[in-house]
Amino acid sequence: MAFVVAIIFLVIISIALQLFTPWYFQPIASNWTGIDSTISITMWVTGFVFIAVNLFLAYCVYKYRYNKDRRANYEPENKKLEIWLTSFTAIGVAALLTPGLFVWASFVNVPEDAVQVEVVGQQWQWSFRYPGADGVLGTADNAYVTPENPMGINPADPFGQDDLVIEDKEMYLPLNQNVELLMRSKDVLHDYTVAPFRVKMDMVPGSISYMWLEPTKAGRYDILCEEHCGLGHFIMRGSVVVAEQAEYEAWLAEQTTFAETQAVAVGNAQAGAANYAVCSACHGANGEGNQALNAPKLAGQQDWYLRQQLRYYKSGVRGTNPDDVYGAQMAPMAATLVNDTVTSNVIAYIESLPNDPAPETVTGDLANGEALYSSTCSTCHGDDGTGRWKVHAPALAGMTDWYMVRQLQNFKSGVRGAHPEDQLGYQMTAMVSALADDDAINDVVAYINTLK
Amino acid sequence: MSFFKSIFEKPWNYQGDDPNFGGSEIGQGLHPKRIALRMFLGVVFVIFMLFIVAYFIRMELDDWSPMPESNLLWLNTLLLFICSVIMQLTRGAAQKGVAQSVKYGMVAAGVFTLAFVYGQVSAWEEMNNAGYYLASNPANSFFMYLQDFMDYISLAACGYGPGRLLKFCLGLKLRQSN
Amino acid sequence: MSYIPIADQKDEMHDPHSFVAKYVWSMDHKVIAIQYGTIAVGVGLVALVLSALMRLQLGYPDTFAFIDPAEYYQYVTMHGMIMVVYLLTALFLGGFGNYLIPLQIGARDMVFPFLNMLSVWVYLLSVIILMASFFVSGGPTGAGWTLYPPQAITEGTPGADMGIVLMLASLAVFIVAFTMGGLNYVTTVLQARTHGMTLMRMPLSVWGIFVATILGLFAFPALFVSAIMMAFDKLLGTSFFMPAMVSIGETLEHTGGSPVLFQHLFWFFGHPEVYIVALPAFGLVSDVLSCHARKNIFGYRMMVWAIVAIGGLSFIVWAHHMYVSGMNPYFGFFFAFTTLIIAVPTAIKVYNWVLTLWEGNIRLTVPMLFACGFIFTFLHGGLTGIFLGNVTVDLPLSDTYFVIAHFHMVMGVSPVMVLFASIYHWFPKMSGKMFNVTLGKIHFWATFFGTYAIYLPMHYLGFLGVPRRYYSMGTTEFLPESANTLNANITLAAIWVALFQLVFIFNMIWSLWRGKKCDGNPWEATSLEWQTPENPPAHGNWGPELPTVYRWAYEYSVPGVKADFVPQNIAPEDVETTDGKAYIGHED
Repeated sequence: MAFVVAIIFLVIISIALQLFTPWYFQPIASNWTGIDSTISITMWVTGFVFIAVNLFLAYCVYKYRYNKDRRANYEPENKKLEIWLTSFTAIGVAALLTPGLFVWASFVNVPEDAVQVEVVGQQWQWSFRYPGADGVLGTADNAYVTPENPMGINPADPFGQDDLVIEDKEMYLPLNQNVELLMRSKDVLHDYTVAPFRVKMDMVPGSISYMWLEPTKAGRYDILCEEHCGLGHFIMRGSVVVAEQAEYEAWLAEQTTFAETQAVAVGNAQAGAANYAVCSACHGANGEGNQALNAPKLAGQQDWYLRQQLRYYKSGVRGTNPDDVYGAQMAPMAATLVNDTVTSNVIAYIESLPNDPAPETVTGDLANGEALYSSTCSTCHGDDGTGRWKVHAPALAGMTDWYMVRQLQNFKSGVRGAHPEDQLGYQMTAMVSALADDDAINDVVAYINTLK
Repeated sequence: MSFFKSIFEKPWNYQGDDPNFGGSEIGQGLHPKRIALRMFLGVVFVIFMLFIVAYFIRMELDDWSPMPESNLLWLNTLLLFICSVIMQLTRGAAQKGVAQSVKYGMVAAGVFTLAFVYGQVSAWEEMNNAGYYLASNPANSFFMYLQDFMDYISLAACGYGPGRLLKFCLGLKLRQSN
Repeated sequence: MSYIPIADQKDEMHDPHSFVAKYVWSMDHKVIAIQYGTIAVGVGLVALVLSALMRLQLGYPDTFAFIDPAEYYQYVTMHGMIMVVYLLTALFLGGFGNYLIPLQIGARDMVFPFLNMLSVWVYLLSVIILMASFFVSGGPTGAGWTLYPPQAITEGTPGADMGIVLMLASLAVFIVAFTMGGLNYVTTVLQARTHGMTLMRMPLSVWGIFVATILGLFAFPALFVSAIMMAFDKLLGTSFFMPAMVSIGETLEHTGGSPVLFQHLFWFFGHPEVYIVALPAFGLVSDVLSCHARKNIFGYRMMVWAIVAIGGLSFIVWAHHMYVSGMNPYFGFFFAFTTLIIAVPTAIKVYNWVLTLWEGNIRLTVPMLFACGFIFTFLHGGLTGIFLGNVTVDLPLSDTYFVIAHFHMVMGVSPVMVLFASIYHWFPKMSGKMFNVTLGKIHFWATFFGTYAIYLPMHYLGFLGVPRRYYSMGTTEFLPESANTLNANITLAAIWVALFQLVFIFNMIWSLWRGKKCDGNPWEATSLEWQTPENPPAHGNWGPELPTVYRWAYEYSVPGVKADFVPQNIAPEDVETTDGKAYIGHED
């Protein structure tokens, strides 16, 4: 009897959850309403079968419960009933499959007028490419990837020169316009998923996969990677903004072309020496850092990282959080570097400074630090802590340890990395959850001190 | 009666142990080792089939650059074929119980197997000398992987063969002495 | 000379005498079954603990500092692989297959007892290799149980140095063990059936295990091949699955490999693997249901056909795991079609189970509770499978919690319900003791409600778009706070279920030690294993004479017979009829 009640109870709970659930599909933002209808059909049909079979089960268990004076009916099989049930099931299955295949047919055939946009995945970031003025994407291959050409665009392909390169986690799509997304991966499998679009596709290194959609609802949506891609799979996020045509085009106009990214001036260290005078006041004449002035060591840091952080200070991504006291001091200083040429010069000068390890000020449990470092940090920053340009991981070994402690604390408390435009800081905010407390932070930094 | 015919029987319709009832006994009368061997050959067949299917799927991709064909490989194929023919003949001799022919047959098969393996190793060396290493491109990888696999199987058979032969000859001797 | 059926060869008996020969290096199928079962349950408990750790992280992110992302992915991977291969496959085929096949077909043992013994030790070796990966530098692999390259063997994944190599080695060794066992099961079923045991008189348990073993023999080679190829890629630098790529800042030497090729090979194994687990479960549960409903299994022939049909179809549906893998999307049409076809025989099985209860005389014993619970959970898991099998509906749902919930209902909870039903059902036969019924019922209710509380809400997180294999969700645009609360509650339910498994283990051990002795056929069942002269069966199973089989295994509640069951091996003239006339059976 308890079993009968339990089955009925569970069926009711299931129906109630389906009817009143606060957790269901996000409002659709693309043309794929056909998918939603197929799901509804499936839900109705399977729901009916679920209720019917379970109630019948409950009925049988109740009605035919054990009675020592009664006998079960002897019936090896019932051909008619079985044929009837089989055909009934076959019809139900066909009814589910047919609409689904029609939707799938339109999914695999991309409309002629679709605009092509390229999505590129790598561990654990997104980047995007738009075809530029000629409307054609240039060819690309992982073999062309260099620090200056991170997307691996074929430098010899004339179609690729005007392609707009977006090395950022945010992309735009035009409202009510068919878009074909071409997908590539630089390393392992990834999967481009925007839940309100309903469609998704894996990105496979060595080949180009595709899917198409028509965004129908303006707004900003999360891009999630939904194919396991290693340690940082869960921090591989981006966002897509669906905007009116005008806004979309305005955004496109702000982006740089591939040709422009290749033409960035090579920094002139001699010219940079003069501009560095401002920096040297705090960071020291040799970029060695100064703890009393809360200025970290610069010499030996990777150039792309310095460039990126200067850009963040200038644009307010960093140094604007009210709790970031020292960042607030840096922000006006960064503004003194008036343009890209000056910035490049200063960075070139810093790169020319002698790189001596900073003095050690932090102590901790080295064994624990090593365990923490090798399980989490080393994947991006490298076993030797020298950093890796490709995953945007700066150098750690030999850098100022007190500064690393503070930054780790900032990442933990959200002082750093929480700004929506901080493309990479948010990954650190997720990763520092592996460091439980200040002791763990000291341990790991103390271990980094041994890496130089 | 075949398997498929037997599964249409209605088992509840008959009581008794008449061995003719549903005489669907596939495999009955065969030695169990024979059935197990057939199943195992099925498994080996699937393994090779999957390799070959994977090989063909890979060939379809654009960047396929095939290995050069070596004459040595044709020779090896010939050796393998002769070896198989001899094995088959030996089997016939064994069934007739001609101990002498069996012995010579097995020795000859063994010699050809070893020659085949030697030929394979030479082919491998020839490829390596010509700059086709295992990891240079997928064609090489597939080719050498398959080649490797064949060699191990031949060697295993070669080791197993003489052992069985010894046992068989002892058996014949016993029979003769009886 | 025609071969004498092995069942009649008296010299095949080889009674062991010393303790070591009897319980360690044993060639008795019953001891080997227990060995298989013990190893599988042991390693399964490891996987259960891993899942609890995983759930702690998911339910309460930022709370447990000892679970870092690398460890989380290692738990996920090891949990999945252990549960699917080392627990379920080994327990159903190595455990129940070994125990039941000879007993249910009336044989003295497997036809190759030595090979059988070898199989269990090689299986133990594979488990040891797998467990060793917890202790090597870098830990076990964190590639996810599907081990997709390139990620599985490149630097950005935990355990990409030693962990993955040990995993591949362990799988290869497991496959060797399985093949040894599998050849044995198939040959035994074909060869060693006793007099009168025709194929269509075999209990469905044997049918399920038989067909599943054949599937295993032909599906595992695909895993074997791909594991070797991946090991080559990792160790020798070949490029079977590795395209040109830039991994964590370094351009690798590989060029031209195809990651999708691995997925095809993997799922060519992986989908039949689902049925390697499910078919024995289908068979076992059919026997439990029929016995405790005191009624023949409804539509026995249909059930056999369905098992064979599902087995055959399972080889042509594999790419439904790959709808969004970047393979040629036109494959989607074919595989959606074949996948939904497989729903028909599966549905027939469910109907027939329920129709077996219809007009039965149901004893709601502990095994019966689990069996009926299975109908509920399997129905739920099967229906959500229709969502995912239909290529269009799969688009929004693949790689979300919906998938997790679906395959845990269909491949986790359901087979486990059958495992418990079977363990409780055959425990009196295996041990000669009866388990504690109250503890058994507590175990059932906690497990049945608990698992549904875990997986029902998980489907809805999937609808919402929560992706699988995420260490933590962090901040998103779409996730309401209530979803996190829900996730925390799922964790509580999971821990609840895990804890109540201790009741089961306690019950088994305690009953083995202090349980009430019971006779050889406590459930009044018809099939042969309940008719052994000793309980538990002695070495050789049948004493001096092999049983002779006179009828099928489902002769329950036959009109005109006094008792409500007629064992398979009672001669028709010995059956007591109500009218005193000889029992001649019945025609329809």
